[in-house]
Amino acid sequence: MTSNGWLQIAVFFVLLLLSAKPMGLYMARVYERKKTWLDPLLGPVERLLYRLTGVDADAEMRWTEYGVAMLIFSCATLLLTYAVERLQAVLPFGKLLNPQHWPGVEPYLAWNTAASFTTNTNWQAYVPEQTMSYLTQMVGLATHNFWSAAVGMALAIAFIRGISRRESKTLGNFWVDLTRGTLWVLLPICIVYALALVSQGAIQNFKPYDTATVIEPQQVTAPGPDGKPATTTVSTQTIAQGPLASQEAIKMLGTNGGGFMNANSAHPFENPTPLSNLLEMLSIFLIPAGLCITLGRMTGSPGHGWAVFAAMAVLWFAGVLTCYWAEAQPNPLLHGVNQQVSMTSPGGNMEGKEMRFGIANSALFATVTTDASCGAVNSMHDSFMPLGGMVPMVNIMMGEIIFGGVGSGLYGMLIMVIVTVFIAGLMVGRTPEYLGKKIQAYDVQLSMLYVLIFPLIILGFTAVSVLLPAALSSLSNHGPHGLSQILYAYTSATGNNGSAFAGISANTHWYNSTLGVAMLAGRFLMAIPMLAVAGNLATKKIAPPSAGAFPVNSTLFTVLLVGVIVIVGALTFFPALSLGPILEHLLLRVGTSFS
Amino acid sequence: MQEFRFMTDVIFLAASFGFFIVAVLYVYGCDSLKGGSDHA
Repeated sequence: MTSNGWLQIAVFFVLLLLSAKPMGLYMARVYERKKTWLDPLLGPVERLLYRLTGVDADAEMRWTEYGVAMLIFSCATLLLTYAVERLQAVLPFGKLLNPQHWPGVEPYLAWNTAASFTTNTNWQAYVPEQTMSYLTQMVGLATHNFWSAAVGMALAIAFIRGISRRESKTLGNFWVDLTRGTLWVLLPICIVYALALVSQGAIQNFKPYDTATVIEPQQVTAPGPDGKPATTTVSTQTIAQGPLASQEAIKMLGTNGGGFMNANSAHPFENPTPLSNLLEMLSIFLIPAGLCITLGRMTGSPGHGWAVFAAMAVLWFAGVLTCYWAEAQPNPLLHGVNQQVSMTSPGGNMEGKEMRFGIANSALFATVTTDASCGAVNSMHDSFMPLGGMVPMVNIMMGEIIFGGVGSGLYGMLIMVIVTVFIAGLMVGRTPEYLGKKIQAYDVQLSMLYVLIFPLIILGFTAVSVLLPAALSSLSNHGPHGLSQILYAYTSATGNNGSAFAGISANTHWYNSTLGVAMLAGRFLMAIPMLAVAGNLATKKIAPPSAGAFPVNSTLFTVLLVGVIVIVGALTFFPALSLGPILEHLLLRVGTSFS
Repeated sequence: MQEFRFMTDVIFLAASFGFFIVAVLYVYGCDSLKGGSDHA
């Protein structure tokens, strides 16, 4: 670890701290339908959209109506994406928008991808630049990046209303929240952000792929048509093009993570410079961090918003510290070899990392992208040291609540707040209260349903996969690292993260279908009990603070909240982690690795 | 152009609809849990 590395991590956090409050206060105004400086421009667009779709913007919805509207919208958009993928070869404007003439996407892969982008996961079992037309990237995938992010934000706002409203049967209007989140928050930022990325070197065009002559032709040996090894000389390189910057912006801001290119944010077109790298990391956390401040504003308890922010920040820091430390260590298998690369990169594990980002920014990016449910990568997590690779996995296993996905991070964290308040109430023998609302059996039952569904899906699918030869044949490593690859895949899918231990070949019927189910279940079967809790909280009275109520804006609350999250995560997943990355770490120390 | 695999498409469409129908039932299942369980 270097002081240069820590300085960059500190700069990142200071910038996040400075941007969270204005972002959060702005979002509170947007969702409370208060005046903003964008109203003259976007107000008419909003009204036109409601008129065209027949939405009554003043109608309020019960939690069940809100939930069903969200499901209908998600189902319709999933099917739209599936259709676009399957039909991309015959859709109009093929010369402009499918210049490489990519055929329709195979059904299993198309469904997996549709489920993936609908749920804000952006798990990619395909190579984008060899599979998707420009039209599919824009109409099927980039639109979903906006919609799924806006859905997550709407759900979080519904939960906040559940806390802040008194004796109300409703949580707002899903269609209005969806529209306002897209128009007022996501679109304006993305327009500016995409231009900033273009200024750094990100591409934005509809050109066919370029061909370049390489400086040094390479001899490549690969299986020929008859299956026997054949050596060919590669003297040209295909350079993929496309409308990348516009997708890159929402990919990061919406914590979606699905790359326009297979190498994702390690590709120089997606993430050209250290400045673009900093912007990309900041944009992942911008909305989730801001929503903590929105929570404080809308509930009338700014201190509570900051207490939740602090809990997230503590967990983020623990992750980045561990990951940076693990990656900065020399590989024990190379004992005695000088692994120093340069004065600014003093050794450590550089496999799978970009030289221009180095270890500190790779560890920071990996931590940020898995704290939030983004899943974009600027380095290959599969190449991390065992404990370094465990950090992204543990971050997701916490439930994607360390800032988390846009919206889903906050509502997941608020479920943990309810569990924490309940435990605190048990400790002192009083009825638990949360911001003046009594937490009762129904709230705790549904919160625990939310908490338990998550490991059930991950560990269930992982357990079946380690017994299936078809699933095991996709692994690139055996032993504990192979288990980590499977565990990471289902953790990432269920947590709606989308990053991968890239060693696994997941484009198979088994993984495409089961990961698709895991993504849908991880998103919707968890969001629904959360909405039920929100709906129930909204109906309650708000009691004035009493001496026995547990203050949720104190340091003690933050400590207890972090403790509950760590204990729930550790107790649930520690046995699986022991057989995966922890065992791999211990074996590596004694010189054992697995091919 | 890739062959059109009609039956596979139908299965995935049915599976998608099936999932969301179950999810809607789940909404009302969660709502029905509320009846009279708040003794805390």
